Amino acid sequence: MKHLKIEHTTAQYSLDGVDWHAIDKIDKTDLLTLLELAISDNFAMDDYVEGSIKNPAHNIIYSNLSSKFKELLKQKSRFKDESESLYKEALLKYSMPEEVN
Amino acid sequence: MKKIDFHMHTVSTISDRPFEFSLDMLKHYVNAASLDAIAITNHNMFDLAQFRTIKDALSIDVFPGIEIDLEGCHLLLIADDKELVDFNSRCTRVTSEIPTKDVSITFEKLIEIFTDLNKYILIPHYQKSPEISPETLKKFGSLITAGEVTSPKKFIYCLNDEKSLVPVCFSDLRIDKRLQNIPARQTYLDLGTLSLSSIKTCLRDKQKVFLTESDGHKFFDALNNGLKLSTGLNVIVGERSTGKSHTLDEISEQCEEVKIKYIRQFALLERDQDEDIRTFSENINRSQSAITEEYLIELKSVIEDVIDIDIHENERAAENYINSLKKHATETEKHDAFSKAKLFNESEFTDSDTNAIRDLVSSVTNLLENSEYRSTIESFVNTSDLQALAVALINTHNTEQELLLKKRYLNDLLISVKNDLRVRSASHPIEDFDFYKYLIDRKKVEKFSLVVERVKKEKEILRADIQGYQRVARRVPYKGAQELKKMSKKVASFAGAYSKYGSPYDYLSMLLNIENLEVVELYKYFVRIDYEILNSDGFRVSGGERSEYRLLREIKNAQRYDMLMLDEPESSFDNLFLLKKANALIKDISKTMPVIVVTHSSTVGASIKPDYIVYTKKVIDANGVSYELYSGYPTDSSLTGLDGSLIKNHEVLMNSLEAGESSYIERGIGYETLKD
Repeated sequence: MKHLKIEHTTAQYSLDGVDWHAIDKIDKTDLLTLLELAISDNFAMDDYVEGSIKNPAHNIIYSNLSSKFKELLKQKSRFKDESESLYKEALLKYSMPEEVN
Repeated sequence: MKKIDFHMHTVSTISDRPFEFSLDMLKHYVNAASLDAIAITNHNMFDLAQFRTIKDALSIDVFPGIEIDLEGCHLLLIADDKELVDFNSRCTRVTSEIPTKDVSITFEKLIEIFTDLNKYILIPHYQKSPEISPETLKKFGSLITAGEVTSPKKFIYCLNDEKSLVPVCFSDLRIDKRLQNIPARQTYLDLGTLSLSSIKTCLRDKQKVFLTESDGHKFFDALNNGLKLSTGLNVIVGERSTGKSHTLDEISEQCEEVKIKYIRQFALLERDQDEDIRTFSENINRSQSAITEEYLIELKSVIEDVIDIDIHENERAAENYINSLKKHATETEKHDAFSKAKLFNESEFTDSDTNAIRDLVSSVTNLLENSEYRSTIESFVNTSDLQALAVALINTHNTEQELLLKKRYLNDLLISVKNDLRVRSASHPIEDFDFYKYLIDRKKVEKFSLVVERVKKEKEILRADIQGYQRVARRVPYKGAQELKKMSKKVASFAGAYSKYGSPYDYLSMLLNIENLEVVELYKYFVRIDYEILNSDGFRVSGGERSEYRLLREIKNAQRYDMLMLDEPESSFDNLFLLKKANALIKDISKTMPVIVVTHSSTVGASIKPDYIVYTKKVIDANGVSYELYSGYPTDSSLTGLDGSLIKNHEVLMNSLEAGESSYIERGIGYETLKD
């Protein structure tokens, strides 16, 4: 699902792919939600292209956010591996028989 | 047979506690212990004048000697008395080489001083501290054949162990004028004439050294009054107040160099039930602390990882990032040449480690190197594929590692440039925020909560059998702040922390705010490990059973000692228990060290089948009260007193263990009647 897009020279973001908001309206809560989606969801976004966003403020915000999300998405499989192996021994050792998967 | 003591001190040197030598006391000791020969062995010195005085005053053989600090151990060097002046001058050199008690000489220096070591008897501390090291012993080769040990247990061990030196046991006594206890710690040599060369010959042969005069290797002198005891199991019997405990005390005093486990009468008896239950469970929990630690080690390491995570700080960083980004974007009028530089707001590279690929390399290498399961591995993967995989993974690892190092280098550079630009610009910079770190920290906290949630579920984690009892360990959650406080043994309040006990991360944060709590101990505040001892029926142990369990543990612990003494173990236990468990344990342990049991119980005294019996008898006459000792084998018809008098063994056992023959017969009739 797409969460960051450039449409008609404006930059927008969406948490659910339905409601879209101007990129300068993003706040901490939205950012953290997007982070969670980036790592767990089939997260997609438009690449930043120089000169494609008219509003200079939107341009700076989108450029920065998209480059950081791009870097994060590159590490998605590393995150998955790291999360799965986190405290594995402890979880296994302390589990009740029915909790062992 | 000759009785010798070749280790005693007559001069108070820097290596001794202060004492005042007394020639009279030396004479008394020689007589009391019935010695045939002694050697004077002071620390790193030889007093020629005093030696001559001693030699003149005693009618037995006296050999000149010295105890030398050598390569961290002590070595007795005993010489012939025919070259006293020569020996004295060599010893003077030792004294000058060892001016303080922290100094010792080398083997090479010893040869330089004494030239021909073949002329002397050399006896190092062997199973005695400070013990000779194997390296030093090796340097002496065949020059050393005997070693000094401290106890009958070690003596017997050396006799039975082919590789050990010939053991000798000496008093190491300071002949102090205030000396009270004369130890029974000397060695018998099977020889006719006493001379340095004949003694040297004896000390090459384990069949020629003994702890008693006439009973081979199965006995040792327990008291200087001539009482000998078996190196196996001894039982001391006697009616009430006839000096049984007194005899044990005396043996314990006279064997001060021997490590004795002495379980005194009533020592294990329960006095106050509540107090006893508390102490018992505390002791059990304490003695099991290693198991607790081992069980919770993974939790400990998880906590150590999570402790550095500050979720709230991470959220603040997210807020700062987004606010600063928006501010920077809207204040375009403030942008200048510095802020327009790409590096002004450039994010640092994520510092990802290469652990994952390293683990993979190690796993494949394990598969390649394993020989035990070679055929199984090869039936699924062929070795050449594995080798190719290993090479590919190693190359990937190297590439990633190189990239990582480059990133670290560039990050340093980036930070430096960014700082330079920001100092010069009026524009508001974008704060750094690491998306990956934020997410992985959240994941860690989530998993940490899951670990804690699991470990807090009540569960039996261990069940082990000890001598018919079961030791059970359970993990249980804490039930309140008081329990936490009790566990911590600190004055701090845990009420606030406990209110967050259900939310592991918040609870951890609260614990960190409590003063004086050791961070490395925090894992103990998440779950409690309780130990309890159950009887063979699976129920909690009763008061008597607690005492029994303690006795069994004490007896088991005695394996670390040289001798075990038990004073009336039956005083708080029921007979069936003693018969079944304690007797078996006592018998077992007596195979490795001397055991002395004082008892009134026929269950202990007779059923345990001792190797040797001692009978104590109180005699009141015109001279006052005295205690007589008789001893012998359980199968002997008579026991022999120290003065040679005899007493009927049957009578002794009936009186001591069965309250007299008539009571014994009466009881027998009573039981028969019941049976009918």
